[in-house]
Amino acid sequence: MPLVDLDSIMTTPRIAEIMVVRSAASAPVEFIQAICPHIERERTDLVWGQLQATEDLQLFLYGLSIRSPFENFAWDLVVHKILGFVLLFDWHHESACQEIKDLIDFILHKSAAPIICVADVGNQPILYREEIYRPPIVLSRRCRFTFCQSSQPATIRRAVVALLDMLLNEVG
Amino acid sequence: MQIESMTFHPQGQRHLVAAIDPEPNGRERLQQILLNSGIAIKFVDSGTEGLELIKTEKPHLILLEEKLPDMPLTQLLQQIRNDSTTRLLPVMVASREPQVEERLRILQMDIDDFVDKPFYPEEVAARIEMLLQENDLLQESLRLFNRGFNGNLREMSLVDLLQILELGGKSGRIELTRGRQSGMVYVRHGQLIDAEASDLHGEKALFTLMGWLEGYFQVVLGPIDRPPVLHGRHGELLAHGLRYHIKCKELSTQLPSLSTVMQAERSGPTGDLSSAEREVLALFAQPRSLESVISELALSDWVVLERLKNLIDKKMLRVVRAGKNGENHTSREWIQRIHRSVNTTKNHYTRILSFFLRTPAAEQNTPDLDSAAGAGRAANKPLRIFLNRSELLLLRQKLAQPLTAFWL
Repeated sequence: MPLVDLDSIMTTPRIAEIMVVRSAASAPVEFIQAICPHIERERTDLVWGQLQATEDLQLFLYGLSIRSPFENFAWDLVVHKILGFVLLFDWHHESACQEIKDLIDFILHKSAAPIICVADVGNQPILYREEIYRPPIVLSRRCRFTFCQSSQPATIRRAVVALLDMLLNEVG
Repeated sequence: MQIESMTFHPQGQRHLVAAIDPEPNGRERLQQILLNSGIAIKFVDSGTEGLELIKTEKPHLILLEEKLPDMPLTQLLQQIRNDSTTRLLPVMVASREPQVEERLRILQMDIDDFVDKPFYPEEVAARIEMLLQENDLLQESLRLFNRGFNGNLREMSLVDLLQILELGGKSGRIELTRGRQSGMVYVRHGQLIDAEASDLHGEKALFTLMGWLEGYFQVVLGPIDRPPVLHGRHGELLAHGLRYHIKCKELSTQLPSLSTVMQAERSGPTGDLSSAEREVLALFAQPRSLESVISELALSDWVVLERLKNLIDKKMLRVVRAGKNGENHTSREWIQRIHRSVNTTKNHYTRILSFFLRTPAAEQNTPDLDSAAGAGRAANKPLRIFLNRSELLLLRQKLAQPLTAFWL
């Protein structure tokens, strides 16, 4: 009886991919750092993070700045793989707020994946009552809205958990 | 249903909350927690009983259940807000409504706080305490306001004062003084009634006074029993007065500070001065401030400022002592506090609401913004999820772990 070739029966790691787009000049490094112990930064407007959930399951977070050459991004290739989108913006900047609103429609047009808009209040307190944004506000069937504090990693992870909840609702 | 009342704390409560809620659950716990903070609470079951309780007991805060058995929330709120004695009373609404659109609709009403049911009594008690503290501050500010206030016209012009009285729907008189000159403006329920300034009355007096950049005011609130001379033209008069005031102010910026002391140049031709300018120049025989000359002349500020400017441009006046601007923030400061207190809870949700309103479809009240956003072919395609349910749950579990376990 031949020896079992373990390499041949080891499963390929399963990868979940989520894109985080930030309405700012630089990529959402702090956001991804709150989730992924391992990050790589190719450019100021692009960052990648990896989280090993289990031995066979990984989460990849792609962090992108909205100011990247966005129009040239390979959306048609990427959207088929992405599980969901996190649209991150600075709550204290009106222009950032508007950019994200425009981006919601853009992504809804491109992809069927769910979106969560995350308003970052930085190290300020969230002035809104928690029951308003937890669970996240339902903007539409595929879009939610919530807050995070970039100084509090737990709030960032909650936002991504909310995105996973939307996916869980889809798979039933 | 009988109105329940609580055994008062031995030291007495400072505040009373009127709770209009037919649901009995949680009452005892909430009562106990509030009592420990020195706050009494009385419960009733219906809107009608609630209105009677508010009228007789004069609570400091109202806690409302959204679904009342005898009237809609909007009707009850309207009655509370239309009554001048309860117009500014803090109102907290408790609701079981799960739909965000409904919750946002409630938030857009004239309320001060909103809490989901079932609620933690400790949390509600903490929110009640916070609202009561804010309201105490507002009431204190209003008490100061209602006693009347005074200040400097340099800090707050007559137009500013009239606008504030209009906002508050107040009645009273504004007494103005400037050197040996004085004037009076009468307001009833926020509307201009009459004005006096030296020998002038009505509109002429009002515009003269509106041009005053210097001087002092004293606002005395109270009923005004005078025939309305300026009645019905409040908006028009204010707008005209504001334009005039701005013109005067612009002209004054071309002059040194009005507290600057100047004196007429002893030498220099006066042949090319008008008689009006010579009249003003004569007042500067001895050093004196510009504002004292303005206040002495029984002319509109605009006229005097023009003449002063001409004299300065023609170098007929020299500076003896440079002036400096005084500050009087007192009136403005706590009027701003009042406005801040009243407006604190009103605008918080506008930006969140704008996310709903970003597309035309939202205005049609459809919850599904995806299709209206032009999702087109992407929305019509099914979502392909490359992970199964177990894998998603594993990811979720990993992310939801406490921080200490997260990095393991």
